[in-house]
Amino acid sequence: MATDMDEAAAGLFDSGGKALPEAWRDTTGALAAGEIGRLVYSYSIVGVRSRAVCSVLSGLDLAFTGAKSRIAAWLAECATRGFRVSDTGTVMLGADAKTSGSLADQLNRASMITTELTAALEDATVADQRAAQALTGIGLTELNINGEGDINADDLELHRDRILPEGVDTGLEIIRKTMPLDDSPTVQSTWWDGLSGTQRDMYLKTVPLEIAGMAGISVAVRRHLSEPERGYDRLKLLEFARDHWDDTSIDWTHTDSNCTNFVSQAFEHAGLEQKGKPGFLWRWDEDEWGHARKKFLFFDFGDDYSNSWGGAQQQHDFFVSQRAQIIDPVNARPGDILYVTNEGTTGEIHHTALVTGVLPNGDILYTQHSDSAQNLSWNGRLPYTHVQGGTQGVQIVRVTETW
Amino acid sequence: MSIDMNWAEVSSVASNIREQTQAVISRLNAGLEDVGSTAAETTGLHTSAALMSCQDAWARELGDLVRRTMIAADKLDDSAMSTEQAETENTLAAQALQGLL
Repeated sequence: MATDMDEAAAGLFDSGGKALPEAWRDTTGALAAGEIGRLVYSYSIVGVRSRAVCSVLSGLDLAFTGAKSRIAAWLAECATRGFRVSDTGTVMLGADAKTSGSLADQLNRASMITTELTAALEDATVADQRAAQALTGIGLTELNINGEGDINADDLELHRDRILPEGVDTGLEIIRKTMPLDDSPTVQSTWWDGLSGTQRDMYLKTVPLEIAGMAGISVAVRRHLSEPERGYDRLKLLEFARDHWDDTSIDWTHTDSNCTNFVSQAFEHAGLEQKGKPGFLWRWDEDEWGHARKKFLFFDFGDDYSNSWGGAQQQHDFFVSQRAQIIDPVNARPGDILYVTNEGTTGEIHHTALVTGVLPNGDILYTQHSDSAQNLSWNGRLPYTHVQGGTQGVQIVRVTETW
Repeated sequence: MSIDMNWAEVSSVASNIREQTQAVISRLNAGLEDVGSTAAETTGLHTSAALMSCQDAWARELGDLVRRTMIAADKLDDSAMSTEQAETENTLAAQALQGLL
């Protein structure tokens, strides 16, 4: 439905919003174009809102999957041990208890499993309640959200900047809620083992840092997330994004544009080696990426940067020239770079961000700096940028250190 | 007040809008049915009740949007036709006037 709304808005914008002012140039034509514009905004808003709802439901779906896995793992152990489980979730010793060990040990185990089953059910219930609450709030938002009496660009912006992130945040919160984040490593390991390959992949893409932070998750899984063979640690990249997305102390002071500088700093933090160093008169070559202290005799001019460090197009060109992979957006993973292009005009890359998650519904989440924001929804913003800011494109790039 | 309209273009815009809206209507109905099915499959959950409320509200809202879009397309067509008629009449009047002179 979100896609249908986006298409309706884009179609109406292309055929009406753009064509009408050309075809009908007088005052009445402007009024007609105004009405078509209101309709375009309305469809766009419904599309953005539907995406927010999708994010909540997508989170709930994975949360239930995780909760089921937890419950299934404990029920499997009950079956192995010959324990009985009552309708209310209480675990009792069965007549045919099959395992060895003292009665006290068995009773303790049964009690522990009862607690775990209850916790899993409670978490799933809380997730359901939270999702319902979000749906009632987000799903039924007024199109005219700013209450000015007209549906316009402000309403669309408010939906993009407030309602959409709310949906994404709720989806992520629900997923985390049903994960055994605070449980013992054994419980975490049992939970992970109970997931299918597809479900594990969803968790790795949606909440990679939470998965890596669980003590019960194996070194192999953590290594899979880090991908050290790429020459840097992708988990550290994500940690940097999480810890510094709103940290102005890392900004350049001579410009407001720090998006690419932020991504470069994240890669440096993650261990990606600089390439090259400034030559004569502190000139950097195009195939270099890095920074160095600019000193001359007693004078210290501070850090000097290659163009590829802070320029979006230049950074993209540098990485791609060093054999970085250009990834189909449907295969995006946390740790990839998201470059935004002006498809409608020059085709130039004008913005850089880090992919920090991919929701189970395929929505790419990205984190950016100046304007600072965490886990923005790309799929949700794309139609907005099409209607509001000219056609925008995306390029996903996966860096490997080849130098 | 002078009219500055390419009536053929405006009529074409109206047709495009109507065509696109009609294409969207069937897909929206399917989407709303999906929402209802999901809600029905998850009966008993809090989310199910919330989804049902959303489905009702969205059906009303989208119905209103589609209706307004169709009305806008009709009005564009009406304006295009009026302008075409006025242009034709003006042309005929001008030709008649030329014949008189």
